[in-house]
Amino acid sequence: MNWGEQEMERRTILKLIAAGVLPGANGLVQIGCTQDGYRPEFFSTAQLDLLDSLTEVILPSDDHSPGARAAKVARYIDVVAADATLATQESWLSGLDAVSALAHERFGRPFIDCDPAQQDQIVAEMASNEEQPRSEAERFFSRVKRATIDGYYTSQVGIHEELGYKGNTAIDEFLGCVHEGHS
Amino acid sequence: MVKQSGATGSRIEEVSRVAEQQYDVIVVGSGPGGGIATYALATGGLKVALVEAGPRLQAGVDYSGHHWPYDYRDRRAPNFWRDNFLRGHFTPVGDRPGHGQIRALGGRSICWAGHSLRFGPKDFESWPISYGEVAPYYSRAERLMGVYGYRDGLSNLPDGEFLKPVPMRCAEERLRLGVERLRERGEKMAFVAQRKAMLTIPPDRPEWKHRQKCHYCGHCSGCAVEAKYTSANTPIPLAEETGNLTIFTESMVTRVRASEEGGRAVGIEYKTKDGEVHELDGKAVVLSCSAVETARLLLISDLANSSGQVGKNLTSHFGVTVRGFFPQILGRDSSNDDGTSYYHSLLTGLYWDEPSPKFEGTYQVQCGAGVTSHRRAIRSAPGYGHSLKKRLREWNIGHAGMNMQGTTLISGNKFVDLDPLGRDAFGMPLPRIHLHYDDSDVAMAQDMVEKCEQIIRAGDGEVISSPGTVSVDDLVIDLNHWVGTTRMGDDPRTSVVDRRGRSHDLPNLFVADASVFPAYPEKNPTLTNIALSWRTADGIVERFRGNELG
Repeated sequence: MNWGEQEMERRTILKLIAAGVLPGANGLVQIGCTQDGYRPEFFSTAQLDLLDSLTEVILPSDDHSPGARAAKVARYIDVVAADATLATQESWLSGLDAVSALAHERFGRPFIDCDPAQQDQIVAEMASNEEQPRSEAERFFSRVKRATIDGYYTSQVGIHEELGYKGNTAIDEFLGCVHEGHS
Repeated sequence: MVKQSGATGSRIEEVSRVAEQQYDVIVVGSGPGGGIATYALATGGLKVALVEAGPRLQAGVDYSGHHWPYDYRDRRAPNFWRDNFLRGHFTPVGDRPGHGQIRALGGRSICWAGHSLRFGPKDFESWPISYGEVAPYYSRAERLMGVYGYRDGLSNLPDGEFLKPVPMRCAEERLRLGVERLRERGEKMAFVAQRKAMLTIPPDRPEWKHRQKCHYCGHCSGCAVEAKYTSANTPIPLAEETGNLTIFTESMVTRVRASEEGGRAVGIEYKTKDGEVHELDGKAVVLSCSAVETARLLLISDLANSSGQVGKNLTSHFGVTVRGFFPQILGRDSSNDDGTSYYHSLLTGLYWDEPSPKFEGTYQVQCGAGVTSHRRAIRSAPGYGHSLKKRLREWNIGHAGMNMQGTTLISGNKFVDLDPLGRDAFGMPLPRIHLHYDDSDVAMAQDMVEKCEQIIRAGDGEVISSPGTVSVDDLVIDLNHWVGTTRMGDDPRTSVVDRRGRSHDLPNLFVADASVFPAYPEKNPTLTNIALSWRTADGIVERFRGNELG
């Protein structure tokens, strides 16, 4: 481990404690596995849970197909963040901090403990200036939304269940548009 | 002489210059131009050395298509284009020039999209040669490559010798409807299906024995079954079978060698990966390294530039993208729309007869549509939640993309020279690409945006890309369509090569790639590159037969 990584880890933990994502010295610091055995490469399990809820608000389950949670988008983002530059990793961490801070400010509890209406209200606030974001949380919305879209539509759920994509295979003839009334 | 070609990549241990090891012709670069030149020279009975900087790849082994992103940890399935494209091997100056290469036997013919459009009679009006002189080579090229298309009967996009065509998808039909309605109101434009160098019929000709019929998986930029024409699957293996070809792979040409008085080319110098320097001798040298690299090699060699035009007159295609959405087609089932990759249709026929008062030249628009698993570009709707998810689902079924391809104005603002400081891994000066868009370029893109939005609306669709005013910052240069740096002409004071691709300065030095284009229409360059390079190589064979070069 080089100095940068050590420093990163220390600062990450301090920040997380400050933001209330991780409990401080009087609590139990969660490290290790999520419930079904996934070991995060970059985030803590608490951060991963926050991302899991956040991505599900961005691309939710509906009567057409499952959403980002079922597609395990948070794990995709974990991998992306693990491979990212230090600056990008910082942005992920400070963005999650901003979301946590917003949840506490509005509803006095962590994002994942907010009810669906409250979560929606928080994300609505984050998304309110999508074209020209001003606050940390608003800037973070673009990042997490883009990653959610990338992760969801490259997942089995996204490609096959949501989009109903039938390609990436060999066929004998290409028929093109066969619908009357399209042209 | 020992034949040294082979799948392992070959190199010579030492070079001597005794007469029997002198090649008739040395071809530098194995892309679309070098591949066909090699074929024409070797089948013409000449002893050819083909020198290529990259290795020989095997389709289906070194690259293949049918992957799923979710099978990979970071969702990045192998992608030939992304994984093999050598970007940044140049110094950019100005408005975000881009350039890329594939260093492999076959060059960028391995990753090209296959679009095969003849330049028309009007396009040749500013060339020293006419459409009629090139037409027989277009026909030959199409027969060898296997080009599919409809016969559309357009005045300045001549029909070719086509294989069974590939139809458009639903949203492209809506664009066609929009164009038809505008034509009824007197607009001059046409909307046709694309023409591509892919086998839509079983490979029943001997020239296609290394290829297979297309199976419409959409992974054309590294076709794993060789349905798409490449230099590596057609002309180069056919040339090898003549016994006249020696291939040197992983051999980077660093210099063209000239006689002491500088009047003739005598061969080339190249480096292998271990840094060793080698030389080859040839009675003639053909450069086919692409517009940027051919110019660089000539500038480094300080040859063929009495006109001062080497590296000048640079132009490429550029553009912006407009996207539409057609709610009328949402009722259909999801279908396999992969086809021969995204662009199945083409908006053309713009400003052929009446030039625009606002800009010089013209543009075409490559159009695509269909259910896709991987197009990020159609996933940029605002908002979140149920409305976002539904909208992206609908766009996936009902969108169409319109990608402008216009020619940048040839001006003093665009050229290639040598970077005085930057060096590549072989110690050679990097090419420096200067790109500054002219007002005419911006005006052309603005016109395209307005025209495409008009077409989408005429087809009862909605524009889903950002409309409005185009600025220089919105323009995207085509990395692969650079031409013009060794332009063809009759006057040695204003051009680099003559009508048959021969240097005005050195009688045995030729250029067989798109560098020689003296003017550039909106159409994709490769088919014309292949036709011209074939013509140039035939000229070399004739000169050898006439003892002019032998």
